[in-house]
Amino acid sequence: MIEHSLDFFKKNRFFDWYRRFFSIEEIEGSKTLQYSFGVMLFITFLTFFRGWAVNTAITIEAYRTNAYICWPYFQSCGNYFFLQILPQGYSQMVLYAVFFALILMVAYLMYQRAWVPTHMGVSILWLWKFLGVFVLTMSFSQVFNYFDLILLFILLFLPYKLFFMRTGFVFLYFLAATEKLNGGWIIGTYFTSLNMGLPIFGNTSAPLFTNIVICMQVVGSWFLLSKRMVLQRVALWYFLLFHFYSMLIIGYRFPVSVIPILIILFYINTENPPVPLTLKSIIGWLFLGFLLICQSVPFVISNGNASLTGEGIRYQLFMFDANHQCVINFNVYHADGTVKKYHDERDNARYRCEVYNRWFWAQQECARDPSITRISLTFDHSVDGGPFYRIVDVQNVCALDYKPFSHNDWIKVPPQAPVVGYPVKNVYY
Amino acid sequence: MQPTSTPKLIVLTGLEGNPPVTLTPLQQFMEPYLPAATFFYWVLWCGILYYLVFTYLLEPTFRRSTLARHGTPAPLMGATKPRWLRYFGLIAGAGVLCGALGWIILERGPVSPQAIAGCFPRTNVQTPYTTVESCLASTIRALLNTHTTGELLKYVTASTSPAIVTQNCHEIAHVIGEETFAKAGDLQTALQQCTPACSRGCIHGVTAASVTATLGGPALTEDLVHAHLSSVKQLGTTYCEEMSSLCHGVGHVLFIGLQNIPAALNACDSVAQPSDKEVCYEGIFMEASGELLGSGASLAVMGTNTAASDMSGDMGGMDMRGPTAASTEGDGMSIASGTTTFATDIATLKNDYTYPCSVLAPQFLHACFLYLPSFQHALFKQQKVPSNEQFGLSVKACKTFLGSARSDCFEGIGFKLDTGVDSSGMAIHTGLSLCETLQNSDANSCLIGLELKYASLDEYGGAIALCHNQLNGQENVCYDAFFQTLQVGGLADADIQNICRGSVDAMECTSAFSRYLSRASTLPQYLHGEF
Repeated sequence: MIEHSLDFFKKNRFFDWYRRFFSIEEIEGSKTLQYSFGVMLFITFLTFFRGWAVNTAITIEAYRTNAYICWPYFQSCGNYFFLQILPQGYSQMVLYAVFFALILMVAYLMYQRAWVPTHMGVSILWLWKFLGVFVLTMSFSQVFNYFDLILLFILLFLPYKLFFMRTGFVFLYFLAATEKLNGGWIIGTYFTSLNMGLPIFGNTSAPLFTNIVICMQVVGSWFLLSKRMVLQRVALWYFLLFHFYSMLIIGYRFPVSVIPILIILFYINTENPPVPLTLKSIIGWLFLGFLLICQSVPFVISNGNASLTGEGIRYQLFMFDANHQCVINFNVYHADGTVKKYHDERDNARYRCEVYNRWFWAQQECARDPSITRISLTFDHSVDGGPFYRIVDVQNVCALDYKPFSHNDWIKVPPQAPVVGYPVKNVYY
Repeated sequence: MQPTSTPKLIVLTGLEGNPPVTLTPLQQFMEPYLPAATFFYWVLWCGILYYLVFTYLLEPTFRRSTLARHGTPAPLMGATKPRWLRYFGLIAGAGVLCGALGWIILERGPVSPQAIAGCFPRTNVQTPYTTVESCLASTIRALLNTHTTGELLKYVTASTSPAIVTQNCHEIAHVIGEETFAKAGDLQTALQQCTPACSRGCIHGVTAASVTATLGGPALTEDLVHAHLSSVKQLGTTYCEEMSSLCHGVGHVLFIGLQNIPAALNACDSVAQPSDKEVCYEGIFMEASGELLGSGASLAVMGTNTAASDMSGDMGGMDMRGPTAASTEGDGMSIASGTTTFATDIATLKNDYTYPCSVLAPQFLHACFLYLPSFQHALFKQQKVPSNEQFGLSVKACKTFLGSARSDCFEGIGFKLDTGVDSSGMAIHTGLSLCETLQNSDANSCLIGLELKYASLDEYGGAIALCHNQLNGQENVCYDAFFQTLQVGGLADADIQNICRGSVDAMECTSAFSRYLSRASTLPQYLHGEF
């Protein structure tokens, strides 16, 4: 019966149009793209399995308890939450059970080489992941999810899939390099301000290795596309080693997103497709241009201080942007004269210390509790072992707006932001 | 005085016991070049993007439309193109990179503000003051071709600038002022470009340069020493009447010309109004200590019949003999004559850490004590006194004085302590911890000196944070000294309240200011050391 259904996909006019519209014949004719599909499906499963299925980030309970965070450009996201998780409910478990069934079905369809229904199934998974990462919450805005979504978008929806997969992959390395063009990486203070220092190599040589990383991302990444075997293989082995080394610090998740695709696109694959310059290819080039614009947004918003203010950093690839430490103090003033104090410290280098998250929490508190007259906030932030700057010191954070695409004047940067102290070495975990 | 205690740090929960963040030697070397390196990487990044877009997108598209045909798209690498187009992208990209490299070469040269830091020795190796000054002069002269005076002053006070720059900002601002005057050509135009940053160092420098120019020669010292004392006095009176800050510059000029502290002090007395005498004296001591510190050798600083050796031995004495600079009193003689007979040598000072304040009249003591640590430092260097013993010797020297002189002396110690950050970006708030090792009023005087230092550097945040950390009533003295200094500096009450609002504890600072206003008239003049 299943095989009979598959015939239906081959003969139906709509599916024929669908096949042509999404250039699925490219997948049918390329082992590289088929392998990529398999890896992407596995990564999607990993995403749901590893955290999403049991995560409360987009549940009604999260909204009720103000334990959620919306994107700055969609601050009312909580109004659209509809799922519940145990013990309050089980609708989210049902949804992910359906997704798991879909993943299994897609795997079978791949095995049957039925690429149109495979494409449809994966598109549904991609769409949910896209909503989760960029619309419903900001909690899932990790860079490995960006990589997955971008590469899968190319694979699913763009023509000249192999070309744009390969070029897009390299372009992501290239874009991510811009986050490293600062003191944290150029002189290596990201690592030397960690208590453990740079793993294996130590602190003395840290600037040497960090500059190698920058150079390879800016220049060497393009050698992955080279027809010269020596250059191509040197670049490939470098990036493989780099990702395996990175596991010492960041663990499995990001390397799992990258290493298999790197191997498939630049080792197993032997094709070097020509540069497409047809009308059909415009969408692909526009997509790369869009990524470039997204990467530049924080630089425009905060004039080079994005790591300090956190403004716009999640619009771009921000992995390892800087080593952060912060101290946050809220005073919540109630009408009856009582004052509740909230103190939070973050010593984890990879915790981004974004002012927006704290502003969002305070806004929700003020909106929900009429007895709150105001909430004062001080936010002290140290980047790459530099001084703690008091970037926010406001008497009533509830009265302030947060602009998603321009600098918020109430977030100060040096020299307006005063130095309030100096950090000790921190940790990464 | 070098830092000897642990700096103040913010240690987050879970990080207890972790060491402070420091730079490795390689990072310290690289740090000044960070802006240039960042710029280089950006140009490289943009250049590659441009090259790729041009070579693989724009050029083939242009070629296709030109040839009006649709052939097989070019392969990613190794495409065949017309010769002039084939290399155009490459050449353009190379041009961008060369431009970047050129910029970096210039950035490493004397036209980058970072070059200012290069004028100061990186190690403890003694560098003559004249060498530093001449380096600063040539560097800043070049910088003024590409930067405004205001930009340079902003750089030397910026928290992101190297500590060696911010800690010497007054001296650097002096040179900026001198070079600004040289470029502007007239006093008013130059003064308009100066800001009050770095204790009005730029204004002082402009004044000094202007006085020199008015006396008729380009070489500051040479011309002054050949100038007529009556001319100097006449000009000095004019400048001192015009503005208090200018009078400080006159003090510098008087010492440069006379090379004799008592004579220069007497000259100050005759040119300055009573309210401006203090700043004139400070100009003299600043210049004298700076030259002594830099030269490490001979410097004529004493008055008639007062050999340095005569006053070196008795640290316990309260010798406040007034200067007897009769040789410079009469009109009709060159001010250079004051330097010929009474030259002394730093080597003859032995271990007199009270010199030269111990031999001056009371009215000169406050200004003298503000710069006594600099005189002492010259001796420390000459005698190779270990850094961890220097503070103790300075304290011992101050304890030989009594009454207001003792207060002034401890205020001078505080005024000279470090407030900034060192080259590794680490805080060296040793000033407070060192002051805290003192007892009672000595500690208060030291704290006031430290507070004045902060205020004079316009580091208001640091000044208030310092007061905020005081206990047992010392916070009142601290705030009072700070507010008084700001008021003397010309800030309105509203400005001070704004500074408080942006401080570490706005509420505490604001209420301290209210308290200060209510009792301001009864407070001693901290700035003048009448503690």
